[in-house]
Amino acid sequence: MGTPLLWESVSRPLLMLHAVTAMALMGAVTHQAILNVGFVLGRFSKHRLEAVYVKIVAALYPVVFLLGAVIYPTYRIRIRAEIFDLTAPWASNLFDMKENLAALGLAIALTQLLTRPHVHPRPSGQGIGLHITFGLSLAALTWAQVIMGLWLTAEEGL
Amino acid sequence: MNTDAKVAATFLGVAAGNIAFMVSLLIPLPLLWYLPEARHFEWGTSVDAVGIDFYGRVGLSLICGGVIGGLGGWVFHGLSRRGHTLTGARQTLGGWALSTVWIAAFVIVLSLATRPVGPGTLP
Repeated sequence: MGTPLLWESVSRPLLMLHAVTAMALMGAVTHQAILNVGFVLGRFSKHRLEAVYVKIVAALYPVVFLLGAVIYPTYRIRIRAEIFDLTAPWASNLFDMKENLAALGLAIALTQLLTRPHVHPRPSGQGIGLHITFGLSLAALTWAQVIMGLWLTAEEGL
Repeated sequence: MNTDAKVAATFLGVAAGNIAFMVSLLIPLPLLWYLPEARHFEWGTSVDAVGIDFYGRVGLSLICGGVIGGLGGWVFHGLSRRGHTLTGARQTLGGWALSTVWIAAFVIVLSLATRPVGPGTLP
């Protein structure tokens, strides 16, 4: 092992925190997506609860993202450069896919927070179609990232 | 600011940020790089050591999205004060923002699925 990297000494607890907050985020986006599917089916009675999930997602997503960004230098050297690039190049690419998709998800989470108060939750309400599509897209991206993250950690963790 | 102007500006900012993110993946633009072993940041299109361009790419995307979204908000606010209806712009820009998310996702998956990686690959 070479020179200590930034945050390396606490990278494992931070990875755990990243994973736990990611699980909470996954729960919130999934609940929101289920309520969004309800909107598609014309069920708008829980629209206030859906708005709460939008806020929870917008609060959790940046936390998960920042924790991932903090442990990234340690991962980049100790896992990617020292292991994956040598033995599992597919894993190096999978991780980079995950981190870049995470940035797109962050944009959606913050967009939903800013636009949700201006969406009319009723059949053919203004902005409802786009809101539903953003919600389902975010759920798909978050699920993809969590699965990729678990796969990579199973391959080689910090 | 009028509701439609606010939402349209948000969507414009998101679309701009996503396009900037995508372009920086496809074209070697000057970005801020973090060199984990040296523990410092460097500005450039590439670096000679193991480096991370992700922070620079996210920063570029946030700056582009913020500036263009802000300018859009200013323009849309002016238009709405002059009595223009922005409902159509809101819908169109929302569609663009959503499209850029999925196009960027496609570009990310395609470019990284085919990226050659081996011992000593930089960055």
